Amino acid sequence: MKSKKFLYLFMVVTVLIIGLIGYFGYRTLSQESTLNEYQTQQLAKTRVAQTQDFILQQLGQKQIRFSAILAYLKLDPLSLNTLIAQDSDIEALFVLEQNKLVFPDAYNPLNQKESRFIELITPIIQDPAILIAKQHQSDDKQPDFGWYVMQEQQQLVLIYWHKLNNQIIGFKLSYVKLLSDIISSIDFNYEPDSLVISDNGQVLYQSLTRAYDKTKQPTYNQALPFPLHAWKIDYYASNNSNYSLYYFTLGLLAIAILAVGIIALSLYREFNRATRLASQQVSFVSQVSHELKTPLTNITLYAEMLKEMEQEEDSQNTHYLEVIISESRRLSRLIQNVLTFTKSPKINLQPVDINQLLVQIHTIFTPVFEAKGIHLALTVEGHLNTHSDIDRITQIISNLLSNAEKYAAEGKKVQLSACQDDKNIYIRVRDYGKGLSDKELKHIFQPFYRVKSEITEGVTGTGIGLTIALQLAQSLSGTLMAENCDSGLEFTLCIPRS
Amino acid sequence: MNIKYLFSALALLSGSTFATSIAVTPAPYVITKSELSSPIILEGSQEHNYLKVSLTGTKQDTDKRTPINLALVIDRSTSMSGDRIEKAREAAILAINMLKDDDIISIIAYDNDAHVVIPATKANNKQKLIKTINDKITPQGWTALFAGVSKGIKEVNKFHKKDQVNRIILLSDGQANVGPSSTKELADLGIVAAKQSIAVTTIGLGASYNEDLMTALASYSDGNHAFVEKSADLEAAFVREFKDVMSVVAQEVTVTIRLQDGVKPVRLLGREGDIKGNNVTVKMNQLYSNQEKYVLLEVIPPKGKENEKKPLADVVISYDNLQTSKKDNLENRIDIAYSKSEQAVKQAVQEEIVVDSAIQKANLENEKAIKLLDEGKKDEANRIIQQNASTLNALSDSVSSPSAKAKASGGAVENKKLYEDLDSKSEAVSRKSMKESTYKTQKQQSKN
Repeated sequence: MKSKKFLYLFMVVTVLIIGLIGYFGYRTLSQESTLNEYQTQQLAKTRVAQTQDFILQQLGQKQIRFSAILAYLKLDPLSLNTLIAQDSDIEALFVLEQNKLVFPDAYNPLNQKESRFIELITPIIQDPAILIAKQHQSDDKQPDFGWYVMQEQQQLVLIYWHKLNNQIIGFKLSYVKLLSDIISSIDFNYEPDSLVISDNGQVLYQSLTRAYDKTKQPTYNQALPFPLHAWKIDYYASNNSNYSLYYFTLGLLAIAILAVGIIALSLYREFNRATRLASQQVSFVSQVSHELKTPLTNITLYAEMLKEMEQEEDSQNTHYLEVIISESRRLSRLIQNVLTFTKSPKINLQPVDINQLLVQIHTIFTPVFEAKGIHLALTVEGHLNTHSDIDRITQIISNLLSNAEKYAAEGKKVQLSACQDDKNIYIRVRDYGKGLSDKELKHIFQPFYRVKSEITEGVTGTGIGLTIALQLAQSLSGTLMAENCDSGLEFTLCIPRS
Repeated sequence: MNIKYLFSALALLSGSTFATSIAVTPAPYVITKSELSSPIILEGSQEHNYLKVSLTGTKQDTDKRTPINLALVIDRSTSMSGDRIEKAREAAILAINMLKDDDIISIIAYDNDAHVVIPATKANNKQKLIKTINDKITPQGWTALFAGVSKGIKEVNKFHKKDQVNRIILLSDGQANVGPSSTKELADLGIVAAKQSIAVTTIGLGASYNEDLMTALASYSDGNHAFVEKSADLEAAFVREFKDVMSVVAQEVTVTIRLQDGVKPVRLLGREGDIKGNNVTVKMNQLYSNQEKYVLLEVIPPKGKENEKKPLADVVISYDNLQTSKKDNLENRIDIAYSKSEQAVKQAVQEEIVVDSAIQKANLENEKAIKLLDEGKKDEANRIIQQNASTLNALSDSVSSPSAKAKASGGAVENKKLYEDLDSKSEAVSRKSMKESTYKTQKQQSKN
């Protein structure tokens, strides 16, 4: 039940983390995409501006040329005809003198081209003021030159006019020459993005590697200023950069989520494994202890019966029997304690004569120690009394001694000592074994922790002895500490004096 | 600009003296003739007469031929895939191999946009140029024909000189579908090229290109046009074109005909020109050796009396002599005489001019036939062409001069072939054949 609850908690936490990663990922992505869009827009704007500058520059160059030609142009028909015939920028030319057409001269024979041209510029001949009217002008000064735009057979007609004294000279720019100059000189490579220049929807130029899709919305577009206001520049940003950003971020998110998931899963499994192991160990210990109870009860029972019989004979054996009985009872309590390991222990406070208790313990352990060739020395300073649970103290010290007997036999010496100060009584168990590293020392009070070394090899143990000792010490409002000495370990049990 | 004019005016002044000196030179560079189809006419008659000004370049020393500044503009749109692009590459390589080290070549390939594959450079490292052609001319994309030609003009202009042949050869097999692509726009581009004395020769490959657009572009820049039905014939077309390009002897040819008062200009047959009052100006970009180019003007002469001889026109021919790098000016005067005797009139008739005018008139009829074809009136078109063939056939029987006979029967044969094509071949193909034929006749382009 508890583990299921835990599983839910665990899942909630994992989902929360994944959700958070997802959320931040989404935020980053949308922010990045907004930024990207903004950058794309800016880039498109810059490039369109660059293209526009280029086109206007081409037109500006024509204007400069025309002005330069005007500077040394003789206005006689032969010179003008030669100019028209030889200059590829000029398709036709007119001269108005005092608002009257003097070239081409309509009173002399005209060729077809000239007739058509005169027909085209009739509105200008009738009212030359329209040249200025169409011009972007400042308030105070009327311009002396500029562009005039007309339409002829769906094609743009650009006329550059210039006022000189009482004459107006107008050049009909070869529109195709302008197109040709622009198209042949434009050299912007914006791949994979593309750019389309159009005149009234008719494509003039496109820099793209694939077909121009008229249905697609341009990323940015701009109409050119007068006189090329019929022209439009469309900029199409390729979507690839955006897609790659999405894919990249999504990929990163997926990896992060997957990593979190894997970590969570492995943590959960590890945790489960540890819990299962611990519970197995606990159940094992409690079962073993439980099994031990019946034979022990029998031993106690028979020992008591034997003692009653022996009391009548009043022999030395009585003393031994008492020891057996006492130990059996203690063992019973120990088992009881193990069985109640996980429950809150019952405490039984009574006056304790530490001197007597330690002597008793010393007596009990001496034979076992001697069997292993260990000298167990007992020193008590003064007479120590306290109010405590005698069984618990006995068990703590027994655990410590039995540890010393198990793991520090090669030191050949174990010291059991006790002393007191104003507040506390200190009972110490010091062995002369190999001791432990500081790192191991930190863990020895943890349940089921067994130092993995040659010391523990071949020695049985459950790994709960010190844990129980510590818990017992704490239940007596005391502490249990372990520290390394020059050689061996020293455990100090500290319990209050009252 | 007035300085430029000054020079030409000076040249014009010295023209008359120069013209006489040319006549003395044993091998003139350009042979010119100005004649009337009927130099003697009946007294009081005002029948239409034909004035022919012909120019023929003389054969020149091939080692000393004029340097060439050539831009090859090659369509590499997807429609060129396979055999076509391979043949186009071969033709380009052939072109490179035909050039001398001092000639200038540039190669432009166009698809969605035009790309300068080889910028204008001297053709001295042929291996490298050929490698570039093989690497870069691979089919892709659409047909940005306008951009291709524009870039060609730009490349040619990099090394533009008056005393070299500045030419663009455009090869396309499809409709221009990127950028400006109307016939008018391409014609205007031809004018732009012509003003910079660049001729654009157009070679149409297969049955899907726009022949009106391609001939317009060639026509306004006075370049050649060829229709190549099968890509296997592409090399032959290139060789023909190169024969022309390498045999250019004169450029910037202007023929000015000043008609006397009382002479009425009716129309120019073949070439386009400028008729302004009594002045007729016709421009030709280039003259090739051993190839006659002419201006044919239909006029109505004034009435005259028996034994009277009147001046009819003054003809001024000017051109850039590529051998001397100077401008040559020639002047001719044409007179017309009157007689009572029909015999004398008939004897004086220049049969070749009669045949030329008949061929040009038949050509105009053929242009009408193309329009009829477009309107779906195939039978009417067919009738016109057949009529032309039989007229020319009859003419060849009636003339006595062998050269006139040959010309007339040649015209008849060609018309016969056209109506046979109309029956046997697809409409697209036969229309292209007709367009090519009318263009060649109009511009007196060499046909073999």
